[in-house]
Amino acid sequence: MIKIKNLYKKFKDFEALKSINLEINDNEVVILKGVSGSGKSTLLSLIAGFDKPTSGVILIDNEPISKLPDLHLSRFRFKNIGFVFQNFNLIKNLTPLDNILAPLIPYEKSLQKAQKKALNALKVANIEHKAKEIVANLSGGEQQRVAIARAIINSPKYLLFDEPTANLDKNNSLLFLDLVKKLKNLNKTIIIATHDPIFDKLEVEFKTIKLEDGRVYE
Amino acid sequence: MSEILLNSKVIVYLLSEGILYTLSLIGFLVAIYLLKKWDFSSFSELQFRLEEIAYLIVTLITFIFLAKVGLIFYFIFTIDALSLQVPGAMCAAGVISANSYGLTLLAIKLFIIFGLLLWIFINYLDLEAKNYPYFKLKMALFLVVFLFLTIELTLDFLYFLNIDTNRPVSCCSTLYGQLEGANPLPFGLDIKTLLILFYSLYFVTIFSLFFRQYIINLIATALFLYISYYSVVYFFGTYIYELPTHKCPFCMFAKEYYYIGYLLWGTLFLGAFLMLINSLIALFLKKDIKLSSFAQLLITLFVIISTLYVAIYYFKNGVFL
Repeated sequence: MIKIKNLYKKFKDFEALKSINLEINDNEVVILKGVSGSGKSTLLSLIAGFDKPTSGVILIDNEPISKLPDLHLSRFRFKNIGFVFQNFNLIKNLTPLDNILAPLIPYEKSLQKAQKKALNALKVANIEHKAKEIVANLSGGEQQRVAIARAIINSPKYLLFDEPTANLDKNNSLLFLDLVKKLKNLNKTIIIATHDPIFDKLEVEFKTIKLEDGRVYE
Repeated sequence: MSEILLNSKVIVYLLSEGILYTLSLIGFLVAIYLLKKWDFSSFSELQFRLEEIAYLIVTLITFIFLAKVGLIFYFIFTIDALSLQVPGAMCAAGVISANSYGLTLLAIKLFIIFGLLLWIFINYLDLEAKNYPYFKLKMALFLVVFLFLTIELTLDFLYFLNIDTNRPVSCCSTLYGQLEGANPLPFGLDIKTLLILFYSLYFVTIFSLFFRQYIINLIATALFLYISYYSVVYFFGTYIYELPTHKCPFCMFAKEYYYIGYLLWGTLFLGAFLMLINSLIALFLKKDIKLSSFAQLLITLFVIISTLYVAIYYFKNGVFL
């Protein structure tokens, strides 16, 4: 469960988030909606522990992640959080398999075991048939699925997506909605920051949180 | 102005010390601020800002430690090089004894390294935990180290300013030789008793750590460090130089002795410091920082190297010195 209490984030004089109070339950799908600059990505990066808040509390499974020293934060993120970036952030000249193996290098001693995990993640993301192609040659939708496979490689409880359909055509966006359904059935808690109305077609129960000018309007 | 201050090595050394001191001063002022305002249980804007500052200060102090380790070697190299400029000095021993500040300065330098090394391990424990349990302790320790850094910088200038290049100094043989039958060894010991004490203390340090007898280990290690100094200068050193009258802790840093001084003193001081830190932390913070094996290895290496010089000399010549 994610609990956010009185969260603020300032960038110099600009207040990106103001007095955010939220609770996200386990296995819930949450759509963070709002126009560009409303604070969606900032909130997502704070929940993921990529950045520290200016003040306020973020508790994930009762762990105050904004207060964790770097070492513990990295471990926590590795085990519990999968993040899919808007631009996917893949290493373009490697294959999807190598991209997915990369986060396992410091932790997984057996390459065989790691490869098995990676292939399984690619299968869940419906991209195992492209496992050995170069990422640069894949389409936007395929690259996104590789990014999703990388995010789920450690079976994290929480999956965070930043504008997942921004670089996709309509067909790929609809495929993504199917994937969200599949991930929800795997008991994941999913948070999606988007301003794409296509998510109204999502065929699973979801909660919408509207962000405007750094404030929450549920 | 002293001629010594125009020596390029001294200029580089003092400039480096000055820069490091300025960084330490920043660390000192910020540490006081952090100590006054730190409240880890708070989720306020101020506390988050303090945590960011703390990260920066930890990096700064770690850098100061690494630079200080490098500078102590450079200090020895510099004073050794100054022996060409100071009449009567044959090595660093003569230069360090050129005035009353030298040996105190060297002792303070070693103490600072010890203090900073202890700080590094407390910091490690602090970051290993989730809630910075030793934050105030490590900041307070840095304040103490800073006081010694201030004394050190003052002594640095006093020392180099007061080296008179017109006044001859004593060479190491005079400084460490037996003058008019006086015994230079501590507690009125003779060489034989000194060596018995040396090897006995070595075993006590190793076994006390093995059996987790930390108080005994602290006392034994401190004594071993003290006795080792005399053992190297008055016994093992003579086998390094292969000359019974050559007693000096510094000449062994020279090229003709294959820079063995760096390895010998390095293993002794690092091993003893790590052993002391291991026991201090186990005793007062009840934590095992798993340094014992490495410290035991270093101390053992020091004892083996020292002993080997004697053994090799004996096998080569069939006699002891």
